[in-house]
Amino acid sequence: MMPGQRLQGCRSLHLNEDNGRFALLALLIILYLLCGAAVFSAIERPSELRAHGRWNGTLLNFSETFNISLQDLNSFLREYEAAIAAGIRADALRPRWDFTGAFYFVGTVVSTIGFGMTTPVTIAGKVFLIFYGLLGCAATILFFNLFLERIITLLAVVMKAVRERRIRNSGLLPPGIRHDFSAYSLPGWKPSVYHVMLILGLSAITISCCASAMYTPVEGWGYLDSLYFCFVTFSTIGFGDFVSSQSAAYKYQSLYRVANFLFMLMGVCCIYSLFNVISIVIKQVLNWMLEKMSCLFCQRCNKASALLGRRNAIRPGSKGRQGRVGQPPDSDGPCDSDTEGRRLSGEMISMKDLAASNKVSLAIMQKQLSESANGYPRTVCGSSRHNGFSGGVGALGIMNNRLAETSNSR
Amino acid sequence: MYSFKMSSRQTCPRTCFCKHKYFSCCCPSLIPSRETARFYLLFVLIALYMLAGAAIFSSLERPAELQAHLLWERRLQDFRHEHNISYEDLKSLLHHYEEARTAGIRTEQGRALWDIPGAFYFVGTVVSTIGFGVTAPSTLTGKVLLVFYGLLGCSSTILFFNLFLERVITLLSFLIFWCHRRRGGHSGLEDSDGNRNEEWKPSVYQVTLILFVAVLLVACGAASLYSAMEGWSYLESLYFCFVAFSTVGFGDFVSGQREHHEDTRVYQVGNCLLMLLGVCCTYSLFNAISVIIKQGLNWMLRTLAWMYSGICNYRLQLRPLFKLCFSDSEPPKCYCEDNNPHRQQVQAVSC
Repeated sequence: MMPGQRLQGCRSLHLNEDNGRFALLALLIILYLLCGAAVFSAIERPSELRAHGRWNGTLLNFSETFNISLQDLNSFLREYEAAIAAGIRADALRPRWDFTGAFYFVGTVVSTIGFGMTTPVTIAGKVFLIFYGLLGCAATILFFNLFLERIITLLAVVMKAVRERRIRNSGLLPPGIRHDFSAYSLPGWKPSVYHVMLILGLSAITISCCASAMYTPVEGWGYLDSLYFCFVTFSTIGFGDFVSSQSAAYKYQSLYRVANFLFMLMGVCCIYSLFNVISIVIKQVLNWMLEKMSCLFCQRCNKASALLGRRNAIRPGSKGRQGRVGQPPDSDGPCDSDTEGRRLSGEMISMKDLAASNKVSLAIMQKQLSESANGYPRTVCGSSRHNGFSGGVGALGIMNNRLAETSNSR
Repeated sequence: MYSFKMSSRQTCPRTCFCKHKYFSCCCPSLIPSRETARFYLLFVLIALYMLAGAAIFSSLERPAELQAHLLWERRLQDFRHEHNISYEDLKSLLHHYEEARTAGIRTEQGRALWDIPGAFYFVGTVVSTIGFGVTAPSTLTGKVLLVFYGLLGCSSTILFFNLFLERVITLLSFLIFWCHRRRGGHSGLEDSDGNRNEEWKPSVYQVTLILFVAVLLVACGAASLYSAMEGWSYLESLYFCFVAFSTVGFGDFVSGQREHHEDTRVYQVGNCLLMLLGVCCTYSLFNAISVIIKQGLNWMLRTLAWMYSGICNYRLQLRPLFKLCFSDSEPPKCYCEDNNPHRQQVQAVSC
């Protein structure tokens, strides 16, 4: 475990960098929530008031037409509410707790979508749910995290193959060499997080559009409503205002149910991975903001340190940080070529890594060390491994190497 | 008998392949890498878990559902006859009521849904992915905005939970190490300065236990608050706590929806903070448990591989002419191309 680095030049503030990032993110999320609340309130409040007005009118109308007192009507509706909680609706719906209905319910529990169209009413059911959900949600979170790792690995392999083919075809290298030593094919090359985000985003859009195309005719929703349902479901929010596969009968019912399950599975995996990849980008933005803020508030920020990068292990006499070469996996920084002279913060080239990878010659190693010391990020920027994926991605990546059981075996 | 060249990538298009004495017999290209095998195994296990859960829940809840149907039918008939209303008119009223419900209307007069505190609660349930559904956008603009808002908000909140997980593990590492030291254990956990040996890390079982106790404390504390303020029973409050903290969020029980007349603001703030703490701790607990499950999966894979190699041995003895590539003389090697930058490093690790 690495102790958090102090913000360079901010010794008076005694702020650990990890804690600072955490606090900054909390603050930003609260601001985001407040802005969102204001905007949603402005959009939806008139509609809510209108709906109240409409409903009161309907109730009054009914009460007068059939000469029923409002209290009687309301008590009847209260009983209907209890019935709704048990899954009854005015139109006949599919059974809630037959085997397939229970399977749908269990699916919404372990994936944490939680529509709420089916909920246990018995005490035994509720108690069992707590224990069942504890194990089931943990296993499903593991499944999503493993999927995330698998998809990043797959994308890395595919993109690397494409890149190598492009390099070979452009004639830069003799065709016979498989493992060349240019910067673009360093062992340990990783894709840029922006490419992965783009690919995942496109996949998510594709899956949502296909799923919506299926839901629109079968469920009778509008296409936009289906897209909204897809987003709410795949992000595991699961309001329950729209729920698929609830009618008593469909044409091709079994096929539809299977397709529903598969779409939801693929969609949740995809969007979960997309969220985690976007969170990497957000983390890089946070790191950038922290550096800017520490420059602003602590006047000890000098140009030299900005040029060389704060966590440059090679710079002699750098205080406030360990003189280690291997860095904690989560201190990664933005990698954009327009930051003048900015070294890719965070991951330095580990001597151990380079020495262990026996394909890289000593000359290359020395070249890269001198580059890092002098702050030559541009040529290395897009192609190095310092792109946010180095520490592993997602919660499994966070816990990697921090627990006894995650240190050697993976 | 041909020798199998693991180093040439043409014969093994997978991203990760293990050459181990257990795996290198029979058809190596059909055996997936360890990570992929683990992924598929987990999928199968979760599917079985869901099937078993469905059967159990069905048997628990089906009688109650049938009973509720019967009772409701009877009530419907009674009401119709009592007030002499046609079936269609009553059904249309119920339809209207269902529509009103999606706009958030209930028979009990609740608080406003889309005033600023209500909208804040709503966006909170969105970004944490709890999604009770008590408040959901009904206008088209609201729905479109929700998609984009949720994309950024949920990503940030996942990052927040992951950072919280990381901070918690850091804190627990310190605490556990400090406890060890207090107990006088100079058992190699420290170096000569008394600083922590960098190689020592807490066990996942300790971390899980501590997190479990923390979640239990938060849930019990929150449940006593909710049962007092919301009028639920203690068990129902616990159930609500679990459903909310795990971000499942059914919406059958939702806190803070009544119109309280005393201490409303304080209660609402306390509600939000409790939910935040509960969700963070439960998320960390789930991830810690998932590490344990991963250990279990690894163990299962090893057992399966051992059984498979036993079968291979058996077949080898039976059919000596069968072309197998069984090499026991070389040490096991793992040649894995994944996030690990030691892509070409040969590790002597048992697969």
